[in-house]
Amino acid sequence: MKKPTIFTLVFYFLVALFFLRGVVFSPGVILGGDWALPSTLVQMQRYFQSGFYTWTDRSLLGNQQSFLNSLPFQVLIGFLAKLGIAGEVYIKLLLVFVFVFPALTMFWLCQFLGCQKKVSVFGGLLYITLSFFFNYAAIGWFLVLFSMGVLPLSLIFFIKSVKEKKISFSILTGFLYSLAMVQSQSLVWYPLVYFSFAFFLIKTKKDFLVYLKSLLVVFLVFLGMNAFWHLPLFFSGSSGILDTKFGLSSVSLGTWARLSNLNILRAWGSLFNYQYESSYPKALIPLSFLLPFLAYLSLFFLRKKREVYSLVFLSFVSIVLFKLGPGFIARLPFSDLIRDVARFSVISSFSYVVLITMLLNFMFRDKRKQLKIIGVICCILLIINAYPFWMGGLFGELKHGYDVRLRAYKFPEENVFLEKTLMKEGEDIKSLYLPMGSVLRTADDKRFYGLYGGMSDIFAHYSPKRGGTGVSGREMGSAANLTFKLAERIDNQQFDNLSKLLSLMNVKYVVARKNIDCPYGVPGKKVISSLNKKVDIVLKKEWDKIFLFENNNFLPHFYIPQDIVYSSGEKSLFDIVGLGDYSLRSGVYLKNEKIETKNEKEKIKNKEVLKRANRLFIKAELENIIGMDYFKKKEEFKNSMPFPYVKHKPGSLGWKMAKLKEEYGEWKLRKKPEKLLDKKLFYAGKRISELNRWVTDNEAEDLILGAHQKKIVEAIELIRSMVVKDNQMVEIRDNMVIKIRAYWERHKEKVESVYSRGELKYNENVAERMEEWWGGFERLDGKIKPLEKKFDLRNLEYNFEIPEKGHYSLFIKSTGKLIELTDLVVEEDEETLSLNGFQTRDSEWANLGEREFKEGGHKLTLRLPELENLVVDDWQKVEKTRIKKQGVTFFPQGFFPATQNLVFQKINGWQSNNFYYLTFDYKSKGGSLGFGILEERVKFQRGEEIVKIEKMLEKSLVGTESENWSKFETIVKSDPDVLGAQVCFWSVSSPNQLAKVDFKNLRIYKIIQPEVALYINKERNKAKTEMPKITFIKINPTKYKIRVEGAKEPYTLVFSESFHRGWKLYLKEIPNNKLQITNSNLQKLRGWGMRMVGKTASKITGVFLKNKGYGEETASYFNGDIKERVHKMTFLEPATFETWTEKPIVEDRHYLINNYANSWYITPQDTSGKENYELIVEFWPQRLFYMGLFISGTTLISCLGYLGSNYVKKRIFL
Amino acid sequence: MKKFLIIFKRHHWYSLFLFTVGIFFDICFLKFTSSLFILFLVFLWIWTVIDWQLEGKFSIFGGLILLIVSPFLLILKKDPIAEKVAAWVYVFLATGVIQQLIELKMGKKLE
Repeated sequence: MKKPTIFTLVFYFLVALFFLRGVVFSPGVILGGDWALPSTLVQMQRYFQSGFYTWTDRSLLGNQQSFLNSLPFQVLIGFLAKLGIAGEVYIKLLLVFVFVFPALTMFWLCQFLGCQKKVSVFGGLLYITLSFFFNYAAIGWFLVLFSMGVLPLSLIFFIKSVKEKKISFSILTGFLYSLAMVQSQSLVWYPLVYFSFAFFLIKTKKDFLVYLKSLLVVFLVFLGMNAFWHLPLFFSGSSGILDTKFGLSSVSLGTWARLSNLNILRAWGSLFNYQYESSYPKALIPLSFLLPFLAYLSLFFLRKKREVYSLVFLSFVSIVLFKLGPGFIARLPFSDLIRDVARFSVISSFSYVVLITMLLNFMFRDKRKQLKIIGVICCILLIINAYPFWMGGLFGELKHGYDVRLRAYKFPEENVFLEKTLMKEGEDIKSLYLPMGSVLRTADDKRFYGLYGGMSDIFAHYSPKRGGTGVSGREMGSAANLTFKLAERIDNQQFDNLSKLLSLMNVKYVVARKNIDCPYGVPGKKVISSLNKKVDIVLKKEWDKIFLFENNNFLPHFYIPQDIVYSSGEKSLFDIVGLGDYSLRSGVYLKNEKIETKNEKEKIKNKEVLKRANRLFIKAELENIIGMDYFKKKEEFKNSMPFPYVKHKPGSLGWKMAKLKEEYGEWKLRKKPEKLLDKKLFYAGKRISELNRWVTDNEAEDLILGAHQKKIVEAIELIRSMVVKDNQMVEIRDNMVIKIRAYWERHKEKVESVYSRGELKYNENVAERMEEWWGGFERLDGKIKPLEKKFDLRNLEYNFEIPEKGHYSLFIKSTGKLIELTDLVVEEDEETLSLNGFQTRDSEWANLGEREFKEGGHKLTLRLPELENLVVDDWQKVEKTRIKKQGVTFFPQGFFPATQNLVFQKINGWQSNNFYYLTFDYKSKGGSLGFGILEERVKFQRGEEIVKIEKMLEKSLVGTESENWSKFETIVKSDPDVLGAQVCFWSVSSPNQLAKVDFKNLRIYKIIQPEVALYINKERNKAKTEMPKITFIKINPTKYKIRVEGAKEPYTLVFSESFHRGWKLYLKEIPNNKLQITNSNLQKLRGWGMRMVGKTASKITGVFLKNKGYGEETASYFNGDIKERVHKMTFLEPATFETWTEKPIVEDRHYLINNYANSWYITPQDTSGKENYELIVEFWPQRLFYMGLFISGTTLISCLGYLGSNYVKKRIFL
Repeated sequence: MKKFLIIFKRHHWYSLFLFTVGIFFDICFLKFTSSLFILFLVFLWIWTVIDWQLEGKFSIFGGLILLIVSPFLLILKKDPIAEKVAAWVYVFLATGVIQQLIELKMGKKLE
């Protein structure tokens, strides 16, 4: 490998500086589209430390770290932090480095392959001006660029290892391959390159053996070096991490949207964000094909060179994977690591660059002058092709909103002050950063606003007192459910009982930022003012833009609850903390019915918990509920509905054959109703696609209409004939009904859009056919309605299951203003509780009294008084509209609704996040009626300036030729943070007709669906037990020690970290503990092996390091019942292996508590009757990391030893 | 069928003509992608290559010509056609590469 001259280095450096001039020379930290590096020394230190643990304490509730492959990078960041290089300087240097390094390595590769120096320099430049380089740099994925920088170097060593038959080069290749694993896709990219070069390297049988030997060494080194993350990933039982089919997730599938033959050919579409492609001028489009053209031109001029074929094979990888499709990729083993095909464009790009450089080299070496001139022209054109780089596209303006670029941002200094304030806190606590989520949208800097514009919340993610929340449920594990629910409440500005809820999460501080907007555009200011109104969340410190609140209701990381609350419903946590006599030191067990029906162990657990719970909370299920879920599901179904491509004209032989095939497809699924329904609805959608294509063909349309109706009717019959045995089946059936309703609505909309297409000439015939469709949809509507849940606005029916006989208090809660109740009927004995005039306040549980309930299922009905109509006859005047009392008549003449055909009025008392029922009577002749609701919302607020927008919430056209009055009814949900709304009606006439459209009896009611709960406080069990005292200490994020004193009776230990089976509890100081456990021989052997490893490791570590004690007390709670000692971050000490010789205790009573946390129910029998002892809580997969790290370290030392000895031999003996 | 094959062999320009028409039809008129039709055309091309004893560079040349055509189709806003052309670029290149490898292997002229 030839050394680069200073000129080459300086050249690449200057080019990189020029490309990045807009961010490198701007003040502030560089932020990518969706990634950011830690910026302060504290953050860098946190980032470095987290690389060594299989459990991360960087996220709010903690989660398993399955992919520890970034450790080398984290070590680098830690090293820089030790040197004191932090902030914008190191990020800028790093960014420049990921440009210079790949250019340099490509320069080396080209020279290695025999190219001239000048051509190789150009090759390096070409490499860093490709589209993938632009996109990954702009999004901030520097590690991809680093990995692609290592690739040429690794290839040089690999070729050398085979050609020179030297193991030292194979070791170096393996070492570089391991290093490139900081980007997980390198796992596949690198072997692909090695395999494709087999053609170049293998000429004889002997070569084949040498190649195999080299490859074997490379993989052995790779496996050994990466054992530190391989072992925890593959052997910690991380199901749900590697088999999630992540490649089929919407995020991954989004990248497929940019893939096409054309884009793959020119190595475009590496990211959904499409930054390079958006910046590429249209005038230069032909130039974008120059890259593949020149690359494949080498097949002409260099057809005798073997390496050309290896590179051409490599360039085909993307297209082959693209043709195989996402389903195939998802089926591959460990596909989560490979994820999406778009990222393979880096491989094609790599091969293109090498091929082009080799071709240019041929041109410049050739004696013919013409070829040299062509070579120069090609170079110039390739430089022009990099237009987006030269013109500053990397940091330039966005073209579409989603094509986010690099930006420099100077974080307010207050963030550092806050960091320092939190650093001073000695306790093991958490801090919640608002808004939750990983993306921040600044109100005072528009570059960081909008759907894709946000920046990564680095101060929350690397906070000294953790506060960040993850992006996906896959990352968050057991905490996902609670985190998402909490985020939803906060986004909707529902702060009631927040303090008590946060206490269960060990959150002591809440950080709110004035310049950061919440989702739905709620300004940070409003969040701060809402928090200021809270009694139990008090302002501790404030700066100009940042406000630090302290949670007065705080529970330490470990605690022993005095009250055990058992609840029948999974969603009850928010309700329970809002109860009047809720005690802070509580532990809440929520019954999960879904798990219980599948898992026998869960049933036993629930029975056990019910037995020792001293409070029961039963949430009644509203039978005729109209909730968020209904609308969410319906929207999801509507949005994911396919309208497949159709190729056979209805009536044709092909169509008839296709229908037969459809019948056969349905027959195959006859025993799977869910899938059969999907199939039937899919085929109904096919009919709509056919209408879209053959709308002008009368005969075809008749067939389509009939076939569509038939399919939907069949789907309805299928649901009707379903046998519903249990709750799960009820849920499945309900979902199917929502699905059919969603399809009905979407199909109707599509048919409307087909008939409103400009190309369609309107005549009587068309109008007639439209009427046929509307009539058909009405008939189907009539059939679907009986399947749907009946909702009665005034008589609300509730179901509940009483687990234990007793005197329960009946509670009721409703959102919105005061509501009035009439009476309550308990069906069991038809007893009526008269509640005339009883009122409840917004979001507060009101006690309706106490009564006895027997064990088992019960029903009750709540009768509400007459609901208030929110509209009156106050229509705004519109020309040519006759407004009469209790009704409006239109006389429109045009096809589109003109202003004179529109009436509107304000809806009184329209509030955020509420459901409204809307109904009216209508009739029309010669036209149809449309209606809509316009919501008023604040879009943007800066100081006194308020920009409002009006958003159409619901729009529907109701068309009929009937002379009779028809009734229309629907339910709509208001958006969060609305100021009010208006309802409007308009008319649309049929072509060439004078329409007469009437409507009357418009009623809009707010839907009141109070929540009903039953509660019992079994005081008899309380105060009998004496709680032990505990003192705990954090050793590191995967290990905690708890000293227990005075444990005379059974108790529950709660650990406020997200639940994971990997958390194990060990007991110290009980010598006969091992005797209690009986295992199979194999397990015994395994246990023996583990103990031996543990003992040996402990002895070896003891030579170098000493154990650290409990240290000073840092906090005390509940009159000294719980104490915290100074926490540590000890990665290694002799005591690290102390549990390896022990067996975990109470594994069968390790339960989920508080909807996310770990709890162990410990009895005196478990501790052999001892009252004072020490417990160790440890995350088991960390052991695998220690073992893996040992293997990695040994491999590294062995490799370095081998290389070193080789080097010394060479120097001394040769 | 036999008769057809005899005629086909005797007048081997039939295969080239059929392939040209087929590819033109697939690119310009077929609004969907039929794997079966593409496979048929690929076999027809292989047949043509064998029949006419065409060298690998012919296939590669065909691929490069289509590659040059693609951007102009994009400029003319014929995106679907350009997309199909791009697919054929890969077909030609893949065939060409295999042909060249066979040729070189037979001639043992690889470096």
